[in-house]
Amino acid sequence: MSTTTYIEKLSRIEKDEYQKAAFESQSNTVVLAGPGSGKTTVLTLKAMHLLNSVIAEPRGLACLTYSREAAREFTERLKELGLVRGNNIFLGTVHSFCLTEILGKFSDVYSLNIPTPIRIASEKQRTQLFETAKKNVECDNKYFKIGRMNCTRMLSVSGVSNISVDRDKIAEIIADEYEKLLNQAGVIDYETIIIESTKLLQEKPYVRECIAAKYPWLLIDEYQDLGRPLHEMVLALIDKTKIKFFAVGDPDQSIYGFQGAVPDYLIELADRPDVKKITLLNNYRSNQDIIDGSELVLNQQRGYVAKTRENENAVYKFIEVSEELDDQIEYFVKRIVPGLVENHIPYEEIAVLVENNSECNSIALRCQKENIPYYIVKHQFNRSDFVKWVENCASWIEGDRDIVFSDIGDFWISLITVNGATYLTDEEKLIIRERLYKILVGSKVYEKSLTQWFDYVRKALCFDKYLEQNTYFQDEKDNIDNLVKEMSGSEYQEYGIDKFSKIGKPENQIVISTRHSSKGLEFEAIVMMGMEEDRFPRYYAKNDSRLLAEANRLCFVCVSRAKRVCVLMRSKYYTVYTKNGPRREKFYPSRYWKRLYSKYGKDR
Amino acid sequence: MDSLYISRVVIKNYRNFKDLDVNLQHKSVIVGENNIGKTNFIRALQLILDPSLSDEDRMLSESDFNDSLENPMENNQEILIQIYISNYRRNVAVMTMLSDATVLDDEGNEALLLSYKFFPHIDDFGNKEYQYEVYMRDNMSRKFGSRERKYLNIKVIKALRDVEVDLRNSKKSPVKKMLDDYKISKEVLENIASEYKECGDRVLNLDEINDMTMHINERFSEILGNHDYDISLQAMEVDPTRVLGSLKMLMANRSVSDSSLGLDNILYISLVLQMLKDKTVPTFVSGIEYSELLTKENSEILGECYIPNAGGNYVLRTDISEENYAALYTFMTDNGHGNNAVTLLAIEEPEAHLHPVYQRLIYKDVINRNGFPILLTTHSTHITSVAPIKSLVHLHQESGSTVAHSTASMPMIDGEFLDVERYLDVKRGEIFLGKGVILVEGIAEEYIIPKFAELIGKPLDEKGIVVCNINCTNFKPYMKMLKSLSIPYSVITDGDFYIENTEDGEESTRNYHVMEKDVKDNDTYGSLGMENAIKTFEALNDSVPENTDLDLHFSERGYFIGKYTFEVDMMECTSTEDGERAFTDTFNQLVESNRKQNNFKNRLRNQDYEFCLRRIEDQSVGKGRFAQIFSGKCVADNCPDYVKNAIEYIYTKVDE
Repeated sequence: MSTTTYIEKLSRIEKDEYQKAAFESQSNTVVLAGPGSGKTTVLTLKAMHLLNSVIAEPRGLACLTYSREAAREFTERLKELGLVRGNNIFLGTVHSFCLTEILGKFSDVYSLNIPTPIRIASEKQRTQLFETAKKNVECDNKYFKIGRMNCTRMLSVSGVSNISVDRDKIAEIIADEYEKLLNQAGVIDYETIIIESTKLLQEKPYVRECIAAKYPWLLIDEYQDLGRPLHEMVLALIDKTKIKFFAVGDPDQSIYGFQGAVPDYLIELADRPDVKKITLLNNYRSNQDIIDGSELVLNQQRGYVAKTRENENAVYKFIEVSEELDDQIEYFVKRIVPGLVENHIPYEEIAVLVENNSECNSIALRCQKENIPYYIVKHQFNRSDFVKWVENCASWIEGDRDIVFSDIGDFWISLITVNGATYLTDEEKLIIRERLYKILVGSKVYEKSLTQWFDYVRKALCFDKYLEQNTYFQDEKDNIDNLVKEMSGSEYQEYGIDKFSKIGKPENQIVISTRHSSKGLEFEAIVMMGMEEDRFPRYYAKNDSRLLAEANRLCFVCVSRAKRVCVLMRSKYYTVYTKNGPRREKFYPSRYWKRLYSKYGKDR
Repeated sequence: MDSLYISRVVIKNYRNFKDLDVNLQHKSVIVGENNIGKTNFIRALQLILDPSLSDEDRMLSESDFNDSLENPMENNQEILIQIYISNYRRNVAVMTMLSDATVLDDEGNEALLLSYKFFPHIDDFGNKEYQYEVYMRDNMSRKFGSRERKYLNIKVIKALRDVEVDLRNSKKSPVKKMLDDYKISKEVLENIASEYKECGDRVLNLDEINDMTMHINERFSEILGNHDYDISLQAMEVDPTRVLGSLKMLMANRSVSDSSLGLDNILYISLVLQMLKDKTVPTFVSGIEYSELLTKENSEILGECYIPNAGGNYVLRTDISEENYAALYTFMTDNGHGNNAVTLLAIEEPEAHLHPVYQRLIYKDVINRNGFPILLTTHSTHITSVAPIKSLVHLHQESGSTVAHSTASMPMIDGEFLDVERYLDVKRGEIFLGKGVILVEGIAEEYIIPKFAELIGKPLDEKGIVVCNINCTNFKPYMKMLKSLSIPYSVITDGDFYIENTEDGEESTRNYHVMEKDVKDNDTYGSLGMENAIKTFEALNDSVPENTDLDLHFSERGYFIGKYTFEVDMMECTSTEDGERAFTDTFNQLVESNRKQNNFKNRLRNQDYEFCLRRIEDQSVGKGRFAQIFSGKCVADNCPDYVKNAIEYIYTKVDE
């Protein structure tokens, strides 16, 4: 069955000249993939092809993604295509790659600046040390957040890239102090993992050789989101080893500038003379009007072509209301949603995009009152590897054939032994597996109530104890507290464990999301609220070309979520809070509104 | 292009070895007496690296602990074996599978550490059970198991081997393994098998055969009482999968089982060497594969290195430059050919059944020329005489357990050992196989000293002491080498007494052919032998401190210096008539002239030894011939004290 899926998908690639070129490329390649261009298909098929025909055992390949969820999706797709997971295939985030393949392996061979054995600081500890660092350098700016410091730390990684960055002197000073404190406390944090790994790769030819031996090919997804250190790592590897890479990304969808991810790195990579640059111009999601609209707000020409819904016209609506966001929300639940539903658009094909989480919550509350089922994209808990494992346990108990007990057992053993740091004999491991088996099978009696079941396995298997002693799962205890809190929310009361995996996925619900979190999703209709100039783009962005460009990109991402319908909303008056108290201010249509209106507005 | 090799071995508490730590080379030759632990040394390596060992084989028992440990398992003792691998960075498969084993060696270079441990494990309830683990570095969870062994392993050719059987056994035979590597296409074999069948059928269709078969069947079924089992003949192997297995090896057109044991031995070793050869650069590439390779980057190198043959396939040229070979190697590695396993080879006593000439050949031309790492154990002086000095490892007993010393860790200046290597022929190859060595500088000592040892009641053979004539006075490299191998030695050398000849205005020269009684007042005199000794010890970082009694100092270190030359010293110490007769009888046997004989005898009596020496050195006599005959006639009285001391010294040393 899987071979036919593979062949099927291969034949589809053949029909798209750009996808085909990317697939067939034998050298270093950068694939610039516009929205809806099928990049995941190209990436997964490329991986399969390399493993089947190009890379000989025992060598493998490494596939780096931005998030764990992306890594999991990738794994799923590869399984569908018939991949039997070999030992030397790495599929995961950049962090986990650095931790397991670079730092984890070589930190006690070479003497590094970091304390060994490796212990990762918990979020609480990091925040604490950050505050102490600020105090020590006498910075009393309470708006200076840890994210800004971390951004600077990542940007300070030096190497061969020619992209220059503006220096943030205060952040650098705080960063130095913070790193000193981390060291003294005998811990490291996630940024340290990346920074030290990059240094190791740059300085030690042996480490590069080990990576190149195991992974002759490096596949990278969402390159534009991965930041400077990864870029320097990739450059060190391509300049000094024989590793070939296949990097996929879209500079126009780079929206995490505040984390230090700018599109310049991907462009620098793509423009290298030894790199083949291929652009996927075909869009398999939206109709041409939506595509053109997205390019309008981006303020750049890209030439994307709709390969689906040809000859279909987009529906653009421009809604003006009077006061505050509240009026927009009101209009949304009373008029827009019913209207879309009447047009046979199901709930889950409707998304509303706003600026921040509290705005999301306001919409959620309003939807609740109107009995409109909704789902908020940003969640309280993090679907970490551990949570995913608990989900797998639940699925296995329910008889899901795709979950194998030995995988569940392997993860559990690895958790208990702190990834092999504690030695257990084969017999002891067997006893642990047997116990896990018994407890999981026994827990089936609670299957009707997710909260009860989770509580039972948590206690019976002593989650808290093991999570605490495992340095790689530092924040997990707090995370599962958050999970429990969310699970006990009213909408999940009736959930049995079969619905566990559904927590966090919309099912016949409208989607409420921040603009940033909408990346990667797609809907028949999207509604964009808050389209006022000085609010989107923000007034301070307008004088900074970089910030402005990123705002454009953010809007580009939003519009390109839509397949057919795009609704823009704005309010004429907002209450603004100034030094002298609150004031009612008039707001004008955002430049994005104006551009789209000029082409698709009513009086066209 | 040397491949990876085992650079260091540590063994604790295993069989003969309590605490062994030895550095090895790319090719190492292990020498030592019987029962010292050569086979156990190899066995220790097999515990980690040999894929043919089973789990049970790896599970040791109480008897495997070193004897010096009392009740080892009760006392929770552990057995530990560690192997360090170096020079592996070029091997992609090893880097891929074993980079977790990386450590830094003493010089700060990366090496791979593989370990075996046999240890007690106590569980939560206090129950103790002995387990073993084979793992990487110090991390017992990171196992070195069968998957890893596919890419790095060892093959041992044992001392008692039945070459014939192994060659015949189609599964184990190296020939079969090599054939598999060529991946001959199934269709080709099927065609051949069907042609075999056709030919075979022609024999089977002969009337005579049919007649015979019919009669056999009649008789057979008569006895059985039924016709259920039809007897027929098969001419040849007609199953395509077994066509290759039915190939027989011939030597000079004779079946291997009919040829000599020795030659079989060489054949077997050659086959194994060929089987284990690094196949990254194939000598034969099929036409199909060649065209595929042409489509890859940098494939121009293929045209430089391969020539097509009549069958449309390609053969590697024999005259490729090193540069081209390296480029081809890289090309092949990049295109899927470099992922081959590395097999370390250990051969026990390759000299078995071999004439000395072949013994040397098998080392020099067969083993030495190949690129991959080999470990040998040997008793053969022929092999030790041609092995490079740096490859020797000497196993011997120290405080009840076996330790190893190697020359590999000896600091050496380039060319320092050329002298030694040049002079090591078969006889001198014994130097590594004895329990002790007496180093001498000339042929006379070589002949006579063993006889003296016998005469003073300390025969050398019994103690395994060997006299080694280095034919010069450059003792330093020998002393250095023997010291690093921890082989006890003593040195016997001439004093070379001289009086300085100072004439006004001219450079002083030395007059060597004089004796102490010739010294006049105001004469400066000295001993060249003593001076050389001082220089030698200084070069060995053991300088002589001021104001020491030189004789005592050197003799404590096993270095014994005469007064004049060996012959003269013998003459001088002789005091009995028997002793004098030994000289004159020898001389008389070699020189016919009565006049000369009398002259010799008189001069000898008059203590005119230099004259006598000149007569011996005379062309018609010669020191060698004189010594040869003298050794049959000499008596204990002829033995100078310094020689006696030297023999006693080495005797004591060996007993320690």
